[in-house]
Amino acid sequence: MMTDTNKNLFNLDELSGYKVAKNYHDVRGWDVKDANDRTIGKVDHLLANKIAERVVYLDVEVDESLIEEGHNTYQASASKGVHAFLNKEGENHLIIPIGMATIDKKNKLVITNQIDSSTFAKIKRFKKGDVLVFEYELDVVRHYKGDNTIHSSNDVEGFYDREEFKNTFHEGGLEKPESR
Amino acid sequence: MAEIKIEQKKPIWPWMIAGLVIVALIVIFLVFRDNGKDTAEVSAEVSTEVPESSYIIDTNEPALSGVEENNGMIAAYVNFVEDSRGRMGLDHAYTNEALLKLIEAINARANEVGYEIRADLEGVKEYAKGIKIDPYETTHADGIRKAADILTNVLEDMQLAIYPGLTAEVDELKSASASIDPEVLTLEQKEAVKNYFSKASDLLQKMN
Repeated sequence: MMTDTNKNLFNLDELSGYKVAKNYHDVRGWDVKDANDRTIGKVDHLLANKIAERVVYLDVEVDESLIEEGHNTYQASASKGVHAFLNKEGENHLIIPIGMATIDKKNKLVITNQIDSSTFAKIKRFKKGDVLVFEYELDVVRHYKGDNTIHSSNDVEGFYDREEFKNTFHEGGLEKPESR
Repeated sequence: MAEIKIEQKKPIWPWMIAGLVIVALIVIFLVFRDNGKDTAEVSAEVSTEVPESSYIIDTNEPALSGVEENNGMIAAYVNFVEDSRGRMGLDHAYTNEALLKLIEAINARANEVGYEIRADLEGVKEYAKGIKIDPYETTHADGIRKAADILTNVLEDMQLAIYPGLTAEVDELKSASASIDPEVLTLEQKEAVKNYFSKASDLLQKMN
């Protein structure tokens, strides 16, 4: 699933000709907190779309506690017939659509008010450095939103125009760039 | 919600080229400034030298020649005495020549500073000739002493008139002159004679 190259998604570290634009925050290394103010991991990479010239996902390295919780959740969920991913050893990264996060620049935190730790625990993760394919992105967004009908097409076109990738998702938490 | 835009990095090579150009300009500026300075210095040297040489050519060439001639006389005596310092022997020819060169040197220095010698330098020349003509004469020391005394007096008079700071040197010369014993054979007091010529040489050099 994660071996095909998605040309629309690039790790910013690998885009030698690109950098975080002026007056925007480079959140790499910042802690990520869920809707319950629980730290679920740390931003490891920024996944960008070259055409849109913006970051569309935060690549998060999740905490060990969440991995353990996800394992237990999977065991329980499987017995209850609830769908969940089975994560393997070393798969400790997940992605968060940029529009589903807010930035607390004062405390250097990334906050995901719409996603709680149990949702994170049940999501399919990947190993650091794995190449992500569009199907995985689609599964993740559907999982976070709890709606399997999102973006019925398997084509990436128009996908990043969704509210999950824009800074207009929640007006109250709009993170404006610093004034120039 | 959050938004993080990305932008293309500005290529660094234009800055590198600009830096190299600036460095090159600085180097060129420094090189040309140094060259300009050299030219200015040469010009300054020329400008200071030209009037001097013009002055010499136009009006004072004889005077300069005179100075050079005087310096040559003094240098001839000084060198003669200097050359004899290492020599162990002392003959009458040497004493004769030394006296004659000393006379010329004193004359030269006097001419140079405009001092009129009132003493009988011709008489000193006669003493010098006497030493050479009759090398077996035993009274040469007496003649040398008399010649030395006359020349010492001339140098002392010049010193008092023009070089008041050289009293000590004149005193040493007088002492050296007095050390030549008229009653002793010259060959037995070679060092005293040589010392006198040496002191006279030192004094003449300091009268500058």
